[in-house]
Amino acid sequence: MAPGVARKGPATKKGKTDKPTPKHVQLGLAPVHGTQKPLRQTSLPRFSVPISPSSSQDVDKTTPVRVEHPASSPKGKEKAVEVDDDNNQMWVDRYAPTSSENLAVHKRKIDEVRHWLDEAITGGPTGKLKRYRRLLALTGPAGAGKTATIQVLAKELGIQITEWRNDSDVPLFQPLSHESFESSSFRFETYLSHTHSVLPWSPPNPSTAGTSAARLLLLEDLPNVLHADTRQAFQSYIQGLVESGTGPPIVLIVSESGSRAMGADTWRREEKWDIRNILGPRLMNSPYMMEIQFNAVAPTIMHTALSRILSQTHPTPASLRPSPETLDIIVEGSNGDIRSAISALQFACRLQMAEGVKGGGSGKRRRGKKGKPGDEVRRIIEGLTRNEQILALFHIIGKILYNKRYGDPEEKEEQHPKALEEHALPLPPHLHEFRRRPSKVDPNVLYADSPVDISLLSTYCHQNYPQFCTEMDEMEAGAEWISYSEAFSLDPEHFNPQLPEYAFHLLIRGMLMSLPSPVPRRNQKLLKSAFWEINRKERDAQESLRSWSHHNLEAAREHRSTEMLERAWLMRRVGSVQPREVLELAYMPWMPPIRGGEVGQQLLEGEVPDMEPDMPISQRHKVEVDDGEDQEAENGHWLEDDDIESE
Amino acid sequence: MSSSSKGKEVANGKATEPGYEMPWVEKYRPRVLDDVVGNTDTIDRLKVIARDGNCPHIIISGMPGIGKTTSIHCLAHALLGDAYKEGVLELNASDERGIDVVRNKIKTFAQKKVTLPPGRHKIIILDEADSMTAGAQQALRRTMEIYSNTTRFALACNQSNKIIEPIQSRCAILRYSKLRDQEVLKRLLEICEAEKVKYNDEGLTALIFTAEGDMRQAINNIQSTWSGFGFVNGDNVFKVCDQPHPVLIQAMLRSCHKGDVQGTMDKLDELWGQGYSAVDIVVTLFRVTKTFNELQEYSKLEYIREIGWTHMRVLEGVGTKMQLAGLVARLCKMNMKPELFKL
Repeated sequence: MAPGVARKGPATKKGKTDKPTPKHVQLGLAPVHGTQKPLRQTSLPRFSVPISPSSSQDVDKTTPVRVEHPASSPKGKEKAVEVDDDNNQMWVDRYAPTSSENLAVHKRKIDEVRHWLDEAITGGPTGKLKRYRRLLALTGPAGAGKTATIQVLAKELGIQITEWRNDSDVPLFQPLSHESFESSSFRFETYLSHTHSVLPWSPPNPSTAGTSAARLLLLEDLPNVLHADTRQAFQSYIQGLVESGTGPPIVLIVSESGSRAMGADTWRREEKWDIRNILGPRLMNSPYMMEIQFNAVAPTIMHTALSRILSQTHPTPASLRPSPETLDIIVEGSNGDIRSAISALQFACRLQMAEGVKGGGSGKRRRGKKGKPGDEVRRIIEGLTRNEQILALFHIIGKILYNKRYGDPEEKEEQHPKALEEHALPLPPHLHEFRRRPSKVDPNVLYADSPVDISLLSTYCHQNYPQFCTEMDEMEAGAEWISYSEAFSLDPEHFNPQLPEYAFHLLIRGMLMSLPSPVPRRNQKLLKSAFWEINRKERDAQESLRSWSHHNLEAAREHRSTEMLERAWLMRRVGSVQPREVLELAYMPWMPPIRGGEVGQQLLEGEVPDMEPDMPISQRHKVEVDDGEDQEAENGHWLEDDDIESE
Repeated sequence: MSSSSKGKEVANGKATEPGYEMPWVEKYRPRVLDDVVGNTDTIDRLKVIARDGNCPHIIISGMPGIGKTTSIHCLAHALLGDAYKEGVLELNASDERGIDVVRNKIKTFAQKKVTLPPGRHKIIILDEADSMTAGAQQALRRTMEIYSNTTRFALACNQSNKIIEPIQSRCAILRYSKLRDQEVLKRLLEICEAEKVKYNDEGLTALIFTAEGDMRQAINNIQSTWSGFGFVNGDNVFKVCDQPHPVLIQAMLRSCHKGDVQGTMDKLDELWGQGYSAVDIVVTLFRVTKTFNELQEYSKLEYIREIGWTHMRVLEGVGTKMQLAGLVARLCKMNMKPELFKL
């Protein structure tokens, strides 16, 4: 439905566009990459209007080259010429998907996005939805195909993408002062307002009014929203745009980190780059905003996508094409990150070619394992993708948890270095229970070889060690040592390169000491740590509870219903640990009854744990006022020493 | 590529003739990938890239002094040859690398036109990339993509998980493990040969002990020992490194094991009298303990914990002798009969 209708867009446009420069026509012949990138990089920040990456055939005829910056096009040409062909490009760019069938994203997600875009442009069946399709946030792990999806769909629907990029039109040696941050957000504002006000009025080509509306503002390279002021400016600005109801819809792309259960989240919470932080609660709950969450690419889809690329690179089958096993390894290793999978594939092909060429010569390579080509490739792939980390991790954990020692029963007379034991000073008698046969694990070696972070290792250990224990005491001792180890690793304030090493030694040695020896084998399976999953769930739950109660509170305010208020309040108290929100209640119109204790009392008799405010309420409120309740804060003083909970 | 790297070597030879001033670390810094010590598998991968061009974005992670930056430089030289000067932008932690720099300097460089052979790209080297703020890294993310046609990034960092995921996703990640003692030793021997350094085995062992797999430190130490004392032996090395002699520390641990508080304290006094700070002593204690074969597994574990606690306190600012005394007392107590402490 939608695509069919919209596809007319580009067709009509194409017919009428003024060709910006003759050079661009020439580019049309080059493969995708040759055209797309140069244009993007030279187009100036305020008006970078890149074409979707996939428009290989009908390149850039639709690109409105701004009269203000004629310089942009010749540069683009130079770059394109510089790029000779094949070998120069990363496959990620070269084989970017060109149609929605080729997207390595689940069909349903694609449809969701398409639907949204369609509604944003045409307003849906009733034409009324347009107002509510103002801001789309695509979130998900890196390499899930978010950008590709929007680019491809935009092309298919004939929507033109305008992208904001932070660019370098400020002087180079501007002092890195406070102002410079502001300036970038300021530029952002002017840019956005410009886009909004100007674009609808100055369509690039004298085309029909219908097509000129088909625009979309893509925000991927955001201002530094980790900076609080910038973030606030950004949020309020976006909010203004979104609520104004005019101008093109906005698509925001946010790669969330930490969602992949890989590296530990080392960023402090407020520094986290996720959609909630970027948009803030107000926008998150706004009816104009919709979030579509992308998942990591599923193995089967990834497989298809990689095969598609291979069929383009090696049209003659089986000649130099990597083996199916290689493909499997790559897919498995990529952990759902299509971008890194493609890079790995490119690399694997290159190596294979290198090997193939060398094959004639007498294997100059040191490791001339001819038997299985897979081994070689596997090693390389493992080294290239992040998967290596996981493999190394399980390798280390296995070493620790199986706790192999010299003299284990199933050992086939492997003589342990007697010298070692004799050399050692004996433990005093009262410590005899801690005597162990010499271990086969050398923590020093393990530490040197470990590519993983200690906190990651310790979470995985924690997850997996209980199944290797037989006695309660062993469990207890293990937990004890993990906790000691943690005490050394979780101190970003006094970070010292030496401390993680202590943590590491304590963890490994502590585990080895606490586990039984020999460890009983009962088909233990090493599992991924559940920590991140739970962490994510917790966050989600808290978030939804909060937005729910927010919602309820709004409703309660409107209806002045005590019952609803009660419910909302209870939700808050149970659900989120944000003191601000409880306090918010203190300044609401029904404050007197609560203060008088009627409602509050009822609520408090339950099992709800008390939250003791640790500074005077009004003061606290002032600190935390952030969403426009200033007028209520003003008369907050009358609550100065009033404790709503304990009254 | 090999011809150009040879050229570099010749040039380098000339530069060193004036002699003494040049630190050996620089003088013997490998110029070609083949000379980089250790991590052979990873280096092999880099060699393939160097030969074929079309270098992906890479992240190299690992401890200090194991050749991350060196191998990136080697790679860049191999790829770009004479165009190295124009084709490489290097920014390390001492350069401004805030968001604006990422946005401006890097972009300006990425837009610069440099004529390079096919399959070659400009390279931006970001050393110690993990010290970049999250915001700066986010700003880098898009840049990497937009200019990937002409510019590739090579990042070196100590911990790859300090690099945000979107960037990791765009890069091939190479992990360097710590150098083995033999690898460090081999390089040291080569240098000894080239510089005609007089040494004994004990001296080399001491160097390796103090360096802990950090090649840079090992080479710096051998140079200072050699120029300071004219002979590399254990004592001289420890004097130069200003670390307590491990033999003394071992003796301390032994008397701890005997539960001999007085004896241990005497040894501690001696070290303290020599002017070592609490940090020096604690660090060496740890290093010795973790490799000290005479200790049982359990003692090692407990000792390491106690030393760790003390280390933390010292880092927090209480670098007093009292802390160390407390530490040795605890270590001694561990080996004494518990009945002795009953009232």
